[in-house]
Amino acid sequence: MNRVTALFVLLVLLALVACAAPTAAPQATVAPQATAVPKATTPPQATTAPLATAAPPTAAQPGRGGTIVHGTYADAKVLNPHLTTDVPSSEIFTRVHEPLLDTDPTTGAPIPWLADKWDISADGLTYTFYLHKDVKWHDGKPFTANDVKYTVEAILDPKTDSPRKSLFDQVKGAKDRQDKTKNVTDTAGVQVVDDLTIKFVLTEPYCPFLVSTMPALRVLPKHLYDGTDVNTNEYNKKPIGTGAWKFKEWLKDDHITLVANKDWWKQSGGPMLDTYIYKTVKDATVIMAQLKSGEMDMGGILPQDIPEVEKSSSLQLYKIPGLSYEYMGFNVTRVTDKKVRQAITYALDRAAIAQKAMGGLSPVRDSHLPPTSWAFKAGDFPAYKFDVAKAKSLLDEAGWKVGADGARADVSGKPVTLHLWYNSGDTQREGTALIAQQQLKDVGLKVEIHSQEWNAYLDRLNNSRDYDMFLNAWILSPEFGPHTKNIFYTKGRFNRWVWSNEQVDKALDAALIVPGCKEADRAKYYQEFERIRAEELPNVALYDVVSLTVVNKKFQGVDPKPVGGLTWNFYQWSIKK
Amino acid sequence: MNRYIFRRLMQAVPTLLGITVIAFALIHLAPGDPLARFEDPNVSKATIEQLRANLGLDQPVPVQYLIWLRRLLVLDLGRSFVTKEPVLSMIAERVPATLELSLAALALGLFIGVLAGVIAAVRRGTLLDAGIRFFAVVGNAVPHFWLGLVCIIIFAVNLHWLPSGGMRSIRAEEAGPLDHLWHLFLPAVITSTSWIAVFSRYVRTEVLEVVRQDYIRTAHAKGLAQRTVFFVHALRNALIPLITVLGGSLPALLSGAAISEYVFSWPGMGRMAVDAVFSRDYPVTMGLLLMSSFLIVLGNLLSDIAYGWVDPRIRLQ
Repeated sequence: MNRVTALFVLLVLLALVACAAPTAAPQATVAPQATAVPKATTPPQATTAPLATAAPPTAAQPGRGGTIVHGTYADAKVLNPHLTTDVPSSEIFTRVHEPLLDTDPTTGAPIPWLADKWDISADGLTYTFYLHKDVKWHDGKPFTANDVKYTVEAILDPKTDSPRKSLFDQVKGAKDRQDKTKNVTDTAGVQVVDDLTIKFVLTEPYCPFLVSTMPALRVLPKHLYDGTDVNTNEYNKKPIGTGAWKFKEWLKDDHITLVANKDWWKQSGGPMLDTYIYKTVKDATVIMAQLKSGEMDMGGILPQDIPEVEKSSSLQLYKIPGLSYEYMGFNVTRVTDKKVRQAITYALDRAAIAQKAMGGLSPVRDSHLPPTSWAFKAGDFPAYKFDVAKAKSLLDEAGWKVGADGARADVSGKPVTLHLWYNSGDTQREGTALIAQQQLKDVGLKVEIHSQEWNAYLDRLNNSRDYDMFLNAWILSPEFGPHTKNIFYTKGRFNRWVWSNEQVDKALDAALIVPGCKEADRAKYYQEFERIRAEELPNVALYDVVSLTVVNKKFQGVDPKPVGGLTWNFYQWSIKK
Repeated sequence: MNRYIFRRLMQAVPTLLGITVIAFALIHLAPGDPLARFEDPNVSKATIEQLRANLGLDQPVPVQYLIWLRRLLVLDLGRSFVTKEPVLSMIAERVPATLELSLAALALGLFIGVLAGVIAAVRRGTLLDAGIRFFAVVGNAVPHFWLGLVCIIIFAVNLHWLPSGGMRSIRAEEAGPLDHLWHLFLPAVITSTSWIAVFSRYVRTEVLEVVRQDYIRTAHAKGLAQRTVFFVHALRNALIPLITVLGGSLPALLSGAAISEYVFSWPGMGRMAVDAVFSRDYPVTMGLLLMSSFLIVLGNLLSDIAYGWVDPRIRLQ
C-alpha cells in the first residue's frame, strides 16, 4: 500500500516539477556573433504588386530604433533562398540575402542592387555585372564575384535540392552542370572576371533574365558553404547575408528575430528600426486579437475583419491588389466544346462572386495578363459580361439541349453533371463554388461540388487531372513570361487544362527571346496569346487577389507600390516620435 | 523480471515492424505529393523530376521502405523533405515543449481529477456529484479547439489577463520564468480538461467499488475514524487502476496536446506532426509514427510492471 502512495506522489511531483521548471523550452538557433563589420544592403522586395488604398501616414520626425512584430500563419521552413519557395521563409531570407539586381517597386524594371551597373552584349547573349565595392557579409568577410559564381554552382549542383534550377536554363553549360551523369563541376556560362565583375553567357537571348532570373539569385556566402552539403549546411538555419537585417534567433514554430545591420552598405546606419520579429500564430482570430492589443504590429487579415480594423484608432489597413488572380479552370478534354466553356463564362456573375469572396475589394478580372502590365491591351479580347440569355443560346448551339426536367444533356443526349473541385477549408472558394453552382443551374447545367485537402487537391491538379472544373489562383510576378509559359504551354508543368494550342506555344516561346527584348515587341506576342486564351477559355479569370495587411499606425514610411508591395522600403520604416 | 521485460520488448519488435509497413503503405497510398509545395510557376517539370530522384521518390514504394528500414537500423530516421534537418533532431528539439505542456496538464488533471472523483464518491447522489459527473462528460466531449479559442477571446482578447499564445513573450525584456508560466497556464488548463474528466470518473467508480469491500467494513468495525478508513484503506486501493490509465497515457503525453499546441501556437511536436502530414513530409511523419507506436508499447509494458510492483498479488511471468 505504501508503494501505491509513493508511486502516486512521485507521479504528481514529477508533473509539478515539470510545470514549475519551464526552462525546458526548445533550443532556439542563435546566430553566431559577427566577427566584424558588414556593409549593408536592403531588404528584399516582394514581387507582388500593391496599390495602397490607405492614406500614407503623415510624416513625423523619423527616429531610429524600435521593434516591429510581424505575424504569420506559418513558420519559415529553411532560411536558404534556394531550397524553398514558401512565403514565410522568403520573408526572412529576402531581408538577409540580397540579389545583384532588384525590380523597380513601381515599374518592375530591373534596378541596381549588389551590382551597380551592367552591360549587355550586342547579340544579347552576354551580361556583365559590376558589383558594388566594399560590401561585407554579416560576419565581416568581403563579398565578391566568387560568391555569385558559387551560388549559381550550388543551385545547379545535381545533389542540391533546389527548386530554382530552371531559372538558369538559358545559361551556357547549366543543363550539363545539372546532369548527374555528366559529372560537370563548372558552369561554363558563369565567369568571374575579377572580384567585382561577373559575366553570364546565355545560349539564346532570354528577355526575363534581368527581371526574373537575377532578382531571384540571392547570393550565398561561398566561404561558409563551399565544400559542404548545401542541403544541410548549418547556415540554412542561421543565415549570413549581406542584407539590411542580420539573423539573431529562431525558436521553431514560435518566432524568428532579425536585428538591424548597422553597417549596411546601402543605407548609412542600417535600417531605421532595430529589431524585426516574425511571429508564428496559426489562427486568424489570434492574429487579429494581437494586432488590436498591440502585441503584434503587422499582419495579414481576412476580409471579415475589415470593419473591426477600420474602427480601431491604432491600426491602418492596406489593401494591396496584386498581379495575381483567382480563376476557374476547365479540363478541356472533359469540357471539350469551347462554346460550352464560353456559355459557362457568360453564365457566371463574376461581380457577385468577387463581392461574396472579397467583400467588394477585388475588381473582376477578364485576363490572365495583369491589367497593369505593359503587355495588357484593353478591349483586345472578349470580356464575357454576365449574360444569361447569351449563355443559354451558346449551349443550345453546342447541342446541349434542355431536357424535360429542365436540365441539359450533352450532344449525345446524356444528362450533364459537371464536377467542380476546390480545396477544403478555403471559405472564399467554397462561396465561389456555391454561387457558380446556382448560376449554372439557372442556365440548366447541373454542377456537383467536391473539395479535398490542399496537398491532395494539388496532386489532382498536377497529376491525375480528374475534374471538369476547378478553382484556384495564380500568383504572378512582374515578369510573367516564364510563369505564363509554364501554365499555358502544351508541355507546361501547370497545364492543368490539358490544353494544347500550337499558336499559343509559339507565341509564348517567341515572347521570351525577342531580339532587343523591347516591351512593345514582346507585348504583341502576349496579346496574341491573350486573344486565343480568351476565345478558347481553358480558364476563366474571376477576380484580382487583394492582400489585406494591417500595420500599426505608430510606424511611418509605409509606402506601398504596385510592384514592390507593402514592404519594398522596409528599411526606411520607423516609429513616429 | 528482467527476462519478462526482455521478452516483452522482443515481442514488440514484430509489432512495430508491422506498424511501420502499414503506416508506410498508407502514407504513400494517400493522395498528395511532397513536391506539390513548389506551386511556384517558375519551377519547371525537369527540376521537379530531379528533386524527386534526389529524395528517392522515383523508386518503387517497397524499395523506398527498405531504404528507410536500413537507415532505421542505425537509428537514422532520415531528413525532413521540407527543412532538410535530421528527423531525430527535429523531434528532440520539440519534445521538451510538448512534455512540459503535457506534464503540466497531466499534473493538473491528476490533482483536480482525483479530488473531484473522491468528492463525487463521498457525496454520492448529491447535486455536487451530479455536477462533477456532468463536467466529466462535457470535459471529454468539448473540443479543445473550440474551448481554446473561447478562452483566448475571453481571457486574452477581452480581459487581457493571459497571453493569447506562444511560449514566452518575444520582446526579450519581458521574458523570464514567470512570463513562461503565464504563457503555459491557459494551454495547460485546456489540455487538462480531458484528463480531469477521465480521472474523476475512474476515481469515483473505483472509490465506490472499494468502499463496499469487506476490509473496509472491517476497518469500520475496528472503530477507525472515518477519515483514516477512507484515506488509508479505501483511496489507496481505489487508485491502483489509475496506473493502467497512466501507463496507457504515455503516448498521449507526446501527442495529446496537439490541438492545444495548434491553437496556442505552442511550439511542440503536435504542430510539427500536423504540418508534416499536410506537407507530405514522409520522413517526419514516419518518425513521429514510429515514436508514438513505441511509446504505446512501452506504456503498456510499464503499466504491467507497475501493477506487479504495487500489487504483490499480481505475478509477472
